[in-house]
Amino acid sequence: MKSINQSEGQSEPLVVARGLTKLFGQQKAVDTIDFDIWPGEVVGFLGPNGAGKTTTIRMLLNLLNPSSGSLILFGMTFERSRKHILQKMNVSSGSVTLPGKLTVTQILKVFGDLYSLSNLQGRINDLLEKFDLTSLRDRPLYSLSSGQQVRVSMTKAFLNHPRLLLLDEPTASLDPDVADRVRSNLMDAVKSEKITVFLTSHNMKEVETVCSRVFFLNHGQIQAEGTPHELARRVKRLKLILRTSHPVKSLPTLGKFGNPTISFHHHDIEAEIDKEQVGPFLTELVKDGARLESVSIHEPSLEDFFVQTARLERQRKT
Amino acid sequence: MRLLRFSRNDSGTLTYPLLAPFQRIRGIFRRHFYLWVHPEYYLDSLWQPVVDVLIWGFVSYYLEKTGTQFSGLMSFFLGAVVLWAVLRRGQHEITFSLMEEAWSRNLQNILTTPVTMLEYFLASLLFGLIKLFVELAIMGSLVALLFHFNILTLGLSFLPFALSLLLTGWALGLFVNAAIIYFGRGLVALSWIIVFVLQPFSCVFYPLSALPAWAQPLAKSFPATWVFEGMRAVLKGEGFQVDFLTWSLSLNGIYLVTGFFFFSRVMRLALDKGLISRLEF
Repeated sequence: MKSINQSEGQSEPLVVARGLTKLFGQQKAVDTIDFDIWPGEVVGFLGPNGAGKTTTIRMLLNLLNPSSGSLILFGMTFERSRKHILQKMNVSSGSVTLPGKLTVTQILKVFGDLYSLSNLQGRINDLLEKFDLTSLRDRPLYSLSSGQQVRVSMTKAFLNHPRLLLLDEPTASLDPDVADRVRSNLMDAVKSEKITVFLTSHNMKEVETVCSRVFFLNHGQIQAEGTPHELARRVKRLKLILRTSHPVKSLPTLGKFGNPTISFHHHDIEAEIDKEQVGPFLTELVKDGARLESVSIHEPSLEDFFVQTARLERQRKT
Repeated sequence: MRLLRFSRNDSGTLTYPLLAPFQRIRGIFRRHFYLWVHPEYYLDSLWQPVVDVLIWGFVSYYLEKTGTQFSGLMSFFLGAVVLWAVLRRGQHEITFSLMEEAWSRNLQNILTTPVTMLEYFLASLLFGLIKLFVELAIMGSLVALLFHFNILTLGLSFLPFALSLLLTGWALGLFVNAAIIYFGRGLVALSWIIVFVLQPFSCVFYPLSALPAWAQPLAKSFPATWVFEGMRAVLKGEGFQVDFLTWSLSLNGIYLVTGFFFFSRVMRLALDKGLISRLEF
């Protein structure tokens, strides 16, 4: 599925991918995908394990050559302008670590030199403050907690004022509260430095919170694209939670309501039902004598879209 | 001149364009240095030369004491030990610098910066030279103290011999790295054992004529063989044999060019097949 989006008022995308494909033997890890990334966006690549997210990010980093298709970053190709492209980018990955025996400052000095920065110490001091790492600057990386190590990785990723920041499952290994704090640090820095972000994740909440546009990738193909809200709205069913004043003994015939998934116990009814059937279903319930004390409608989320898409895929296969 | 002025690139980062490659080399140099100051690293690079000096020093001391007819045995053995350390250090520096990145899962971080493989290896070689000087200083002190052998007995010929062996080590390192990248971490042991496998055929401690007939052509194809033959000629008072050095350097040229080509080809394949990330797991 082709997906090209043009932001208004933006002249040139930072990344243009056309027909991007990656084969490993006979297996298509990435299958003819097209996408653009425009300045200022926070773009998410979402999908289950093995969808092709990390393969895509590796091609964007020149760690992997595409089997076919084209990839243009900042108007340049890796074949001709590798150093210039990489100078404008940086990356933080949940699966790649930094040298454990080096201290935080040493790591930043090494990478600051690799990006040929001039006012290195000043930049390091600013970033340590931004990511709350000043008190940890002389500690070796292995002695830090996982959340602190991720913050160091992100500090490294901001060193060269990148125009494009690639984040590959950045908070995958963290506890929810730590992940939230790291994400908050990250987004503050992204906003203050006006960086474009390309993020891969299978954490729906994370993508919903930070991304302005999301691509849903499965089996190497882009199956959907839009804002998190647009994708969530594509979910046909929503969750209904009802509480009745009397225990529920039976339910109306469900076939005419599109066969919703329903469970009930004593006073409580939980239903996953097509949006347009909500009204008729409630009406029928009341006609049948149910006295509703409360009605709670849970709007579908990106996670629901993910689950629905995965479910449809499984049904298609069987 | 534009290249010497601050250049603000699109990222808003101030860089000196002309100095950028040198700064990247400094970054890799720093990376190695920060690691090497940890005892487990600098001791690891010193134990083998020390053990080699002790073993071969005591062996030759014993042989001389028990009446061998050849009085220069100790200088042969100790001179060979010192020069062999040069080759070993050259190979280790090329191989272990890259492997260290893979083991610490930092290789992808390095490869996603603007640093080129040439800059990476130049920095590693530079750092390797410093480590080599330290090693040679320690070995030279040990052999002088314990066995009254002066490694400068070889005179100025020590320098071209050492240079040639360094080039051999570097070429070997490139081949080993290429093999490990292509075939995977299962071949990591090659980093340590390759020098031991080649040592018997490099005529380090015995002349070429000591090898059986079938092994001599093989030994002649190794640059190190000609260095050690040349070393023995100098120690025997036969003078500096330019032919031996010429053979050695010519073979080094062939192996280095082949090594660079092979390594570049494997890196290209690595990018096609995703072999880099495989190295880190």
